[in-house]
Amino acid sequence: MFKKLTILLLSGLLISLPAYSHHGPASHYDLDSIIVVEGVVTKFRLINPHARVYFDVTTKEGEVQKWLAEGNASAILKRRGWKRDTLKPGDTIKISGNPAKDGGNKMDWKVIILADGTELYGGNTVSIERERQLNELEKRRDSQNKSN
Amino acid sequence: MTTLKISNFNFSGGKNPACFALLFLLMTNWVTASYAQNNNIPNISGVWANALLTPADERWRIVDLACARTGCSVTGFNYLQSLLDDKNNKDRSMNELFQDMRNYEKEQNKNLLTPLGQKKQAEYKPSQGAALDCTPEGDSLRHQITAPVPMKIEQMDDRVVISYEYWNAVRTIYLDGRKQAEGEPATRLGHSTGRYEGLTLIVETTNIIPNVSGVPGGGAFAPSADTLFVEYYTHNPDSGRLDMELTIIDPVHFRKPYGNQRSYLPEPDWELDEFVCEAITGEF
Repeated sequence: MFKKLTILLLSGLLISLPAYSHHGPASHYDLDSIIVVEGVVTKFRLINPHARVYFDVTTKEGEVQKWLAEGNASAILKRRGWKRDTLKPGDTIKISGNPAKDGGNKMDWKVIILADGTELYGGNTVSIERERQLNELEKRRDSQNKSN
Repeated sequence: MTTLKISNFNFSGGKNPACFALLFLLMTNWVTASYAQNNNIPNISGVWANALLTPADERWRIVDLACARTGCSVTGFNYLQSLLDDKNNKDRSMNELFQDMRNYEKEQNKNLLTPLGQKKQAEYKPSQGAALDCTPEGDSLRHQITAPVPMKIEQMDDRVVISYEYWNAVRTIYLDGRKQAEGEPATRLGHSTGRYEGLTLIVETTNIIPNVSGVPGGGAFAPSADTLFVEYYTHNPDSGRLDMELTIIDPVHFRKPYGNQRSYLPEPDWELDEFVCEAITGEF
C-alpha cells in the first residue's frame, strides 16, 4: 500500500461545483476525500488544460508505484510564477489532494510540499482553492476596513 | 479619422526582421491607442488580466478577488459587494459572506429555467468536456469570454479585435453594424457587432454554435440556436479597471437573461502566450 497519511472527509465543507466551472475535476476526482502521498518527481509538465506532476511512490513493501497529480492550467500558473522547472525530477514531495474516483494512482492536487518545506498551491479543485484564497483575503479586508 | 505619424521612428537600423516585427507591433499599438484618443471613446486597447492572475495587485477590490476563480453572476457580484460594504458584517468571515452570496445567487436563479431547460439540466451527465479533450471547436463562447486567462483588445476605426490566450482565439467585432449573409453557418465565436456608449463598448453576438455550457444552479447543456450574447465592457479611467458583464439571452431555456461578471486590469508589459493544450490520456 502506498503511504496514505490522512484521509479527511470534507463533505460538510464542500459545496456543489458552481455552474461557472466548465472543466472542474468533479467527474474524475472524489471531492469529498483528501489523501496525502509522498513520492519522488519523475516529470513535471506545465501545460494546458492542467499541469501534471508524475511521481514515484514507494510502498512499505518496496514496490514503486507510478502516480499522476493534476493542477491548474499552465496559462494561469505561469502568470503566477510557475516555471517548467518549478518541480524537477528527483525532487521529494509530499502532495495532498482529491483521489481519483476510479481508484487509480491519480489525484487532483491541493498543495505540494517540497523537501525544504516550501508549499506550492495552484490546484484545480475550486472549492479548496477558493477557501484558501478567501482566507488570504481576510488580511486585505482588515487593512481596508482600518483605513476607511 | 486615424492618422499615422511615424516621423519619430528611425528606420536605418531595421534590417533585422525582429526589428521590423517590433516596429510593427509598436505602430499597431500606437495606432489603436491614438484611435481611441482621437475619437473620444474609452481607450481599452492592450492586454488585460483578471484577478486570478495577479492577486497581489493592490488595485483589485476584495470582490474582484473573491469572484476571480470561477466568476460570479452579476447579481451575486453586486450582492457580495453590498455585504462587504455593510458594517454589520465586519466580524463575519469572507467564507461566510461568499457562501451567503452563493445562496443568494441560487435563490435568484430558482425560477430561471423553462421546463425544457429544467429537463435538459436533469438529463445532463458530466463528461470530459472540450477543455479536457483539447478540442476548442467543442467549447462554448461563454467559457471563451470568461476564461480567467489574458486577452488583448485592439481598437480600430471599423472594428475591435479581441485576441484570447485561451485557445489562441481571435474575435472580430464589427462597429459598422454589418449583418451576416443569409444562410451563413453558425460558428463557435458567432457574429459580433459592437458600438460605444460613453465609456462602454457593447458587443452583441449571434449565430453561435450551441456548444455545451454550464448553467446557473449546476449542470450544463447546449443553449438554443437563437441565443444572444451581449457583453458590456466599461472602462473606469480612475481605477484603470475594465469591468465586463456578459448577459446571455436564451428564451428557449431561460425565463430571463442571466449575466456573468468579470473585471480586468491592464498589463502593458504582457504579451499573449501560445495556448498549448495536451489532452489527458491517462498514461503515466
